[in-house]
Amino acid sequence: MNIKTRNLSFKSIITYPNIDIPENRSTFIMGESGSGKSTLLKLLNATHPCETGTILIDDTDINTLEPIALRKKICLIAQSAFLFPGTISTNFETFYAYRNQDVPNRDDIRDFLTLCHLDMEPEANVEFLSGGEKQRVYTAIFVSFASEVLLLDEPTSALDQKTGDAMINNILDHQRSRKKTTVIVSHSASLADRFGDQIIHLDTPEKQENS
Amino acid sequence: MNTTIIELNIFQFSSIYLLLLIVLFIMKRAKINEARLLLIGSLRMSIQLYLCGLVLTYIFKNPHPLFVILYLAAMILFSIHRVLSKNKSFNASFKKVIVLSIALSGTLITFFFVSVMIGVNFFNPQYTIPIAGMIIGNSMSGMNLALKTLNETMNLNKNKIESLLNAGATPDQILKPFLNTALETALIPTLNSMISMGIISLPGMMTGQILSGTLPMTAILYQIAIMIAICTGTALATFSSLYIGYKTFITPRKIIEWN
Repeated sequence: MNIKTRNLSFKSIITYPNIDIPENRSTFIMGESGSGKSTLLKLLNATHPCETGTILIDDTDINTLEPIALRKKICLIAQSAFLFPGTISTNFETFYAYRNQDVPNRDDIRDFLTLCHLDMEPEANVEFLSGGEKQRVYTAIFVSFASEVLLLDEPTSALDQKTGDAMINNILDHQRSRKKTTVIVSHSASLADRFGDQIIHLDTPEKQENS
Repeated sequence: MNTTIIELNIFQFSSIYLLLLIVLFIMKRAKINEARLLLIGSLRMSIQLYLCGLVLTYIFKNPHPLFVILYLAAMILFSIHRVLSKNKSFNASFKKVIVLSIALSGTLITFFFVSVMIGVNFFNPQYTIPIAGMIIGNSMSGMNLALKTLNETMNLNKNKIESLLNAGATPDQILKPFLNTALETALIPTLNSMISMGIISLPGMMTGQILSGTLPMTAILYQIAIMIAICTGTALATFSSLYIGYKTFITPRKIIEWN
C-alpha cells in the first residue's frame, strides 16, 4: 500500500510538503513541536478530516475510502497510551472485541510483548505498570493487529534510550520481514539515522513564513 | 376535618417571612456572605409565584384550550432553555433533538395521565397544567444530569475514544457505553426516591392534595401515578435525546465530535 500526499495542509495553519511513503519501508517524520507531525498521522488514518489537498492511498483519494476499514489497514499508535483496567490479556481481548476479531493466543501475546522489549506475563495487572511499560503494552496490542501500514507517534517518548532503541529495532525487523510499511514520528535524530529508510522533515509555520 | 383548605389572610401569611430572619442570623453566624442572594431568592420566588397565581386564576375563570396550550408551551420552552443553557457545549443538531425530545415526551405522558388515566378533557387547566408542570420539570432535571454526565465522561475519556477510533472501532461501539451511563444517572434518583416514598414524610403532591381536603386514599393513587409518569417522562426524554442525538456526534468521515 503506497501513500502519497499532494498540496496537503491543515486548517490553513500547517502546510505539508508533498510526501511519498514508500511501501515496505520505514519512514521517519521529524520536526519541532508545532510542525504538524501528529496531525499528519491523524490525516493519514482519517481521524482528522482531509479538507485541503489530497491524500492518495494506492492512488485512490482517501475521502472516497470507508474510514473504519481504512483505520484497520492503516493503524495509528498514539503517543498517549490508553489501557483498560485489568490484565494485559484482558486488554488484548477488549481491543480485539472492538475490532470484531479473534484475540491472539497466550503465546502470541507473550511474543508481541517480547517484541516491544517487555518481559512480562500476560496475566500481569496493568494497574501496577509504569508509564513506559504501559506504552509498550499499548504498542504491542496495536502491532499485533498486523495492519498493512503502521503509524507510530513518538513510540519511545516514555522509554530510556536503550529500551527505545531495542523496541524500534524489533518492530522494524518484524515489519520488514512481513513486507509492511512503517511510519514513525520521532524527535530523535539518532533513531531516524540508524533505522530510517527515508527521513522527512517538517517545518513549523513560523519557519515556513520566514523561508 | 375541613373539606377545603383554610384561606390565608395576608397579615397572618406575612408572618412566615419572619422565619427568614432566622436564616439570616444563621448565615451571619456562619459567615456566609450571601444575604443578597437570600433577599433576591425570596423576592423573586414571591413575585414569580404571585404572577403565576394571577395567571392561573385568570385561566381557571376563563378556561380555553388556547390558554392551556400556551401555558404548556411556556413550560416546555422554559425547561428547554434551562437544559440548553446548562449544556452549552453540545452542537446545534444535538440541541434540536433535545428540544423535540422534551416537547414530545412531556406532552405525550401528560396526555396519557390526564385523558386516558383520569379521563378528563386534556384542555382542562386544573388538571393538565399542574400535572404537565411536574412531569416536564422532573424530566428537565433528569435530562440535565444525563447531559452533564455525558459531557463530563466523554471529556475525561478523550484518550480512550481516540485509541478505540485508531484501533478501527465504529463510533457506535465507542459511544454506546457513554450513553448508557448517562441514561442511568438520569433514572437512578427517581428510582431511589420511589423506594423511600411514603415512609415518614409525604411527597409534595400528596401534601397539597391532603391539605386541600382530598381523601388520603385518592391522594395516594395520584401520587403513585405521578411518580410513574415522571419516571417514564424522564426515561423517554433522556433516551430519545441520547439515542437519536448521539448520531450528531459522528461526522461523515466517522470521526467523533461532541463539542
